[in-house]
Order: sequence, then C-alpha cells, then structure tokens
Amino acid sequence: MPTPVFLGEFEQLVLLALFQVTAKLNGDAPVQALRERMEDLSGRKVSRGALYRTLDRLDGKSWVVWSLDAEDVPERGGHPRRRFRVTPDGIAVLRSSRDTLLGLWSGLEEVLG
Amino acid sequence: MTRDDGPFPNRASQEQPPRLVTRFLAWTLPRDLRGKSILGDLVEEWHARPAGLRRTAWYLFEVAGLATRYLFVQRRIAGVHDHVMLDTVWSDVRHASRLFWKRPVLTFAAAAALALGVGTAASAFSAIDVVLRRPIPYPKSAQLVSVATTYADRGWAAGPSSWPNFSDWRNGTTTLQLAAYHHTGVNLAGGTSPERLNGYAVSAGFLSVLRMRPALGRGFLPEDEHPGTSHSVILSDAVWRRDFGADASIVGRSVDLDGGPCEVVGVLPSGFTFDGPVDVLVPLRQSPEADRDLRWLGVVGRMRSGATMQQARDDIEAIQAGLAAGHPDADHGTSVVVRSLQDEWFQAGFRQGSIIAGVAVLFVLLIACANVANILLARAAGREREIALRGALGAGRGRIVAQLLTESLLLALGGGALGLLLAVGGIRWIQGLTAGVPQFEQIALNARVVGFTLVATLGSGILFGLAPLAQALRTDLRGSLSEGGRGGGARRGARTRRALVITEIALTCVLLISATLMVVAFSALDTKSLGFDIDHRVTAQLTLPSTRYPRAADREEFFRELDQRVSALPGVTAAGLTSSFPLHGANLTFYTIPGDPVVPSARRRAAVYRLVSPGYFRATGMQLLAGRSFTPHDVDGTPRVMVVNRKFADLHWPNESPLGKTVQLDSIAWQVVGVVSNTYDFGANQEPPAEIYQPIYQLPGEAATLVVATDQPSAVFLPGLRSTVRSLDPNQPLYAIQTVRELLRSWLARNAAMSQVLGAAALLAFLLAMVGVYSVMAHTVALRTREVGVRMALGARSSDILLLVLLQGGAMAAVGLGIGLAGSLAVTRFLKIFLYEVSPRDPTILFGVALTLMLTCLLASWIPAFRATRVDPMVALRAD
Repeated sequence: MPTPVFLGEFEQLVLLALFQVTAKLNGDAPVQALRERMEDLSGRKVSRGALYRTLDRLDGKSWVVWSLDAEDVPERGGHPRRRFRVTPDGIAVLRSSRDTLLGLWSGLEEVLG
Repeated sequence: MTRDDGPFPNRASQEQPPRLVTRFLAWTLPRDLRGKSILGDLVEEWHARPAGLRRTAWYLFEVAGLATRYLFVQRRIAGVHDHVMLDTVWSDVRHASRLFWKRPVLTFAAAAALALGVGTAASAFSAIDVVLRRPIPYPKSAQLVSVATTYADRGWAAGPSSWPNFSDWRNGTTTLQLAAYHHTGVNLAGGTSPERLNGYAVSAGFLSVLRMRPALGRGFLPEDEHPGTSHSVILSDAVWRRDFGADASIVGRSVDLDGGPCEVVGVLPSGFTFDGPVDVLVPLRQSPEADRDLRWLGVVGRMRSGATMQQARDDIEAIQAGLAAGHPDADHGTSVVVRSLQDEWFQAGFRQGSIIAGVAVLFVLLIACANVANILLARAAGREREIALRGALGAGRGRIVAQLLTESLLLALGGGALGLLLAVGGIRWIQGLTAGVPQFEQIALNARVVGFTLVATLGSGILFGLAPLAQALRTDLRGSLSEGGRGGGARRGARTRRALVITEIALTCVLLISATLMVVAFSALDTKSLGFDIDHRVTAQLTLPSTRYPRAADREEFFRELDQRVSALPGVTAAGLTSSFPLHGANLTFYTIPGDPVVPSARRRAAVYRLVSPGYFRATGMQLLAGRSFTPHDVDGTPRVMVVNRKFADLHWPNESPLGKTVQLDSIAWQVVGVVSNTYDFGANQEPPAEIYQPIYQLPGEAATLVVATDQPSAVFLPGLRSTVRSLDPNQPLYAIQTVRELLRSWLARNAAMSQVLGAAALLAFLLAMVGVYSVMAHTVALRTREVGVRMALGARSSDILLLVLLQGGAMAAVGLGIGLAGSLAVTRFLKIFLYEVSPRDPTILFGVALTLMLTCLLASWIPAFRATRVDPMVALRAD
C-alpha cells in the first residue's frame, strides 16, 4: 500500500486551478492565468511569492512540470515564460486526496447538512 | 511623410520598471530559468498596467513580497522554515520598534541624519540619472547621429555645414537618412498680441528622421524646400492650443507669419522638443546654387537598419572627400565628423559635472552613515549586557545578527522615507537650478529615483549596521555580564567611533575644499568685468520680417525711429541697437588689410563683427579709446566707416594709430574712425576677440538687439518700451527681454549650478560631521566621568581637564584633516574645467578650510569638556 499523501489546502487549490486553466487553454498554463483563476475560485488575493514557492515545491515532488515558451516576448524584458501542467503523479495525488476527504466527509451528511 | 515613419511612441509603455529594484529582486531570486521567468512575469504585468506612481508603488510592493520570501528561502539559515523565519523577522521588527520608541531623541537624530544623506543623494540622482542615461525623446534614439563639418584651416572641430554639401550627402548616402536644420524664429501676428515664436527651419524628412509623426497634418515634403513654393508651417501643440484654441481644422488654414500668409500643414505631437522647446517648424527653402562655403546648418541623421556608426562615418567621409576634391575653393581641408546625437547633446562637461556632484553627495551619504553608525555604537555600548544575556540564554550568533540587522534596516527605512520627502524639495531645487538647460527638463521624481532611494536606504542600513554588529559579535559574554557594561566593549566601541569621526572629518575636508574652490572660481567669473556694464541694462530683441520691411531704407527708418523714441523714454540714460549682443553669440566676417599677401579663401582672416547704432557704446558702457563713435549721419551713401576694438587695433597696427586706416570687407574699403575697449564676448574665461563695428544705419539687417541703460526697475520701464514698439508697428513683437545681469546668469548657469550643488553638499557634510564630533566627544567624556572625578579629587584643575579633552578632540581633527588635505590634492584636479582664476592647490583655501574645521572641532569638543569640569567630583566618583 502506498504511503498516503496529504495535500495542503493551498496546494490543492493550485493543482485544481491549474487543471482548469490547462483544460480551458488546451495547453500548458502561464502563471498569470493560473493566479487569476485561483483568485476567482478562492475569492481572495493570491500572494505571488506563495504561488511561485508552491509551484516549485510541487515541481520538486514531480506533481507539476513546466516548459518554456519558444518565442521571446519584448514586453517581458527578454525573460522566458514558464507554462505549467499537472503530471500523472499529480493527478494521482489529487485523486487520493479527494478519496481521503470524501472518506472523512462520508457519514457526516446528517450533522453537516 | 515618408513610409518609414514608425508609430508615434507611447512613452508609458516604453518606460521600464525601476532597474535597481529589478536588479535587487533578481539577486534574491534563484539564478536559473525559474528566477528569470518570475522576473518576466512581473515585467509583463508592469507593461500591462497604466503608467504612473501607482504602478511604481505596485511594483515596489510586489518586489518587496517576492524578495522577502526568496531572500529567506534562498539564503535561509538551515532548518528554519519559511513561516518560522517570517515570524522571527516580525518579532525582531517589533522588538526593534520598541527599542527605538524608548529612546525617541536618539532615534530621531539617527533618522534625521540619514534622511539628510539619503534625501541629498536621491535629489542628485534625479539629475545624474538623466545625464548618464542620456535619454533622447525619440524612438530608437540610439540610431540617431549628428553630422558636422570639420575645417582644420579654420580650427573647427565640429562646425555647421552648407546647404549644397548637405544636399550632396543626402543624395549620396546609403547608410543614413539625413535632415538639416537651422535655429530660427518667426513673428506670428493675429493673436492677442504679436508674438515671437522659436523653432527650426528644417529640410524635408526632418520629422521622419526623428521618427515623430505630426499629431495633425503632415511633415514637410521635398517640394516645400523650393524657394518658389508657397510658405508653410508646422505649429507646436502648445501654440496650436494657446493661439488657435486647439482648432481641429487648423490644417490648411492660412496664418500671418512674418507679415505674410503661410499655410499650416501640420501640428507637432504634444511635448515635442529638439534640444530645447520648439514652437514652430518652417521649411528650409534653399536653391541648389547656394554658396558652398556658407556653413550654417546642423545635420541630423538616422542610421538605416543594419548600418553601423563606422559604416555611416566611412560613407559620409567618402562623399565629403569627393566634394573637397571637386570644390577645392570652398571645401579644401574640410572633412566630416559623425557622432551619436546623445554624445552631441550630453557633452563631456555635463558628464564630468554630474560625476563630481555624484561623488559629493556620496560623501554626504557616507558621512550621514558614519553619524548613524556612531549613534548606534553609542547605544550598543549600553546594550552589551542585553546582548550578552541573550547569548547566555542560548541565542545563536545568527539570531543576534538578524536582530541587529533588523534594527539597522528599520532605522534605515524610517530615515529613507523621510529622505524621500526631503528629495521632493531637493528635486524642485535642482529643477529650478537647471531650468532652461534643454536636456534637464526630464529631471523628476520618477520610479527610478524611488528605486534608487530604496537601494541607497537599504545599502546605508547595512553599512551603518556593520559597526555595531562587529562590536556585538566580539562581545565577551562573561566579561560583559560581570563588569556592569562599562568594560572593554565600551572602549572598543569608542575606538571605532573615533575612526568613524576621523573619516567624517576627512570627507568633509575634501568637500569643503572642493566647494570653496568652486565658489571662489564662480565669484571670480561673476565679478570680473566683461568689458560692458552689467547692472541697470536691459536687452530686447526684434526681427523685422522681410515681407513688411523689404528695403534697407524701411529698416533703417524703423531702427532710427526706435532708437530715438526709446532714448526719450523716462529714466533712459542711453539706448542703442546692435545686430547681436556679446553674450548672445557673435557673427564672423572675413577681411583683409591692404598690403596683406593674397591667401587662399580658407585662410582669410576673420573677426567678430557687429552692426551698431551711435548710442550702442554708451548704452553698454564701453569706452571710446580713440577717434570718434558713429553719428546719426553715418548712413547709406556716406563714406564707409568702422570702429574697431583695441584687440583688433593691436593686432594690425601695434605701434601706430589705427585711425584713418582701411580694412577690406568683401572688396569694399572701410575706414577706421574709432577704437573702443575690448569685450569678453565668450565669457570672462575666454580671450576677448578682435572685433569690427559697423554703423547699423549703413547696413540695416533684419534682426537687432536693443540695449537700454535705465535706472528704473524693469516693471516700470518695460511697459513703456513695449508700447513704444507697438506705436511704431503694432504687429512687431519684442522678445527675449532680459536684463544683462539675467543674461549673464543664464550664461553662467552651469558653473552656478555646480558651485551651488557642491556648496550645499559641503554645508550639509560640515553640519553632519560637527554633530558627529560633538556626539563622540560628549560620549567619550561621559564614559570618563569617573576618571574626571578622580583627577579632580586628586587636585587637577578645570583647565587641565579642559586641555585633556581638547587635546583628544584636536588629535582626532588633526588626523582627519591630514587625510582630508591629502585627499583634496588628489580630488580637486578633476574640478579643473570648472575652476577659473584659482588653482586647485590654492594654499589660502586649503589652509583656510583646514583651520576652520580644526577650530570648529575644538569648539565641538570644548562644550562637553566644559560640562565635565562642572561635575562635582563626589557625584562623578559615585557614577556607575
């Protein structure tokens, strides 16, 4: 049996929003679009630093991967743009996290309504 | 317009985020693609936001957030997680705030010292930044060049060019797109009052070379250059709004320009400048047969894409070499010099001046840092117990370093914020000093200045935090806890503090000497006689348009009438007319003296010439040394007479009277009837030129400058002068009305600005350094209260104690001054181009400054020393 993996709330938000954006764009998502989607979903400001750090952490765990845009955009001052997507490992973690949560929720419908 | 016109630049979108801030962020981020992409995201969002202070604030905020996070992540102390670290930082900040709050005077003193330093540095940076960045307000300005003629025979390093030469370059070049321009002015009538508009006569394609598109209408076309076509004009946005109520249908309308109809073909984009403000552009109307030796045009070019500066140079030089061979009469010995327009507009003097100002304010900032470090050290000496206690309770060195650094940075940020407020005033002051200097209108409190202030603040925080930090890290735990905070640490601290004060004195000494040299040189320039009177003299210019005054006789009549009526105005003691006033510039004429050997045209003698009216010499206060001045009877048709200045007379007739001699100008013989005193036309630091004066009534030109000697204030005198001109011709504007003193002041503006900036920096440095000396002496004496008590109890007299302390202060000052004097000798030679009639090693100034500093240091030491002698020995002995 694999070791159970716990996803933090913020990590979960990042992965789910990333999923949605990549689906909508039909391709890897740039950070700005991801951040906007997260702000829409959560209804609050998402700290830039927290987001980058979390993405790096998720990348370190191989739950997301990133690629670089080929073309150079002048407005970016010559800096590259990263685009992210969720990896199959990331999907597995999301699933397992959902199962854990659903398990915790089950049987509490009467109490929580 | 031609098809290569780029879009009119949107300056908001071109502006880059504050570079220093971005660099700081890049330093905190990972050095790999991750870090770079984060920078890219931020820059991209910057460009997507509307320009303004709000965007800068947003950027600073985002950078602060990212930097804090990554700073601790990248360089975190092993094993401490983000949030723990942030909590620690927060608790350090609160602890530091409480400490500062407990000692408000000390905190305020430190913050104020730093605010002075940072404020001065930020103000100066606003100007230095403009000079070093050399922004030219056109798209892709790095492609812009200026093309000038060099003429070895006449000593021209970079002179104007003739229309035929320009025309040949323009047709022959493959690397450049070229346009010619000439500064000009026109009289606009029909508005509320007749008006003089300044601007340029330009060739076709001038705007397209600059990549500027008119806001309305078009630029000039090749057909506008032909002398036969109807007159056209392009108005500036300001003139269009002010005089034509921003009428959108202005294009195609006819306006009265120089007394004739002129079609408005376009309106310039708002804020258009070309090395200064521009009111109008008119076409250069030249026939191809123009004189090739008549050099009067500036030439600006844009390198075609792919061309390099070297290719452009080779290209134009080859064309000019062909011209020199083909037209030896005019072009023998000429060549061309192609320079970037940036180099042309921001010349070396600018750069040198701003580097000197930069070094001066850096000194002030360093002195301020030394002062703050001193204050922190004094406090640290009292805190040894606290630090030792924290160490004993298990705080690692890292924690103590973090705590002390947080304190320094917090203090720095407070001082920096105050400094930014001071910079608002400082920048206004600099804007006032440099008003009218073309490229300096861009000085402003912008994102870059704010970014610089932040970096200077943080840098200072770290710098002045080092001293107390080093001391804290040397703290011996047991010793400090047992000796009651009055032990070796305090003495070590005192040593560091003395070293800091010696540094302050040395830096102040260098600054004071430099500033004094500049002020002395400047006042020498200001007070030296230029050969004409400065006070109670007013000058005003007017230009009679050839359309309304086509004949010389018309102009002569106008000038004569003007001369008479102005002379009759109340309060006027003398009035005269000249073709150009000395400080406005000078025209040269070729001449020959009968009997001179025949020389090639390029080697002909040239002298400054002026057309003047009979009253001119008296109105300017020049002296008639021999012969006579002009009379109202020296008119067209009477014998040709001229007056020369002493320099001219000495040059050609050193041992005989010049009266009655003749001089040939354009093969006409003129007889010398008088000799007048020399004038320093190009400023007191240049030799007076040889000059020829001719009667303006014999050769009335279109432009004239009126010089009036009056004992009335301008406010009383000017309305009368204006109405006199209006009574002669209601459509004739009078412009550039200035007193001669004002004219001189703007002439000396650069030197004045330099000496004022250095003077202000030196004064601030002096104050800060003296506060430093005082605080160190006061602290040293306070630490030695017991010793003083013992000495006095053992029979020492007050004078012994005074002497003891004064000697200590004097020794400190002497060491600082020694270093400072040596430093000054090394530094002041860089001031040479600004120094006039004073040597950078002037012994009076060197020793005068040293003596002043020494006396002030002794005074600053005497106050605490005197206080020490008043202490009751019993109280002193009981002091802890």
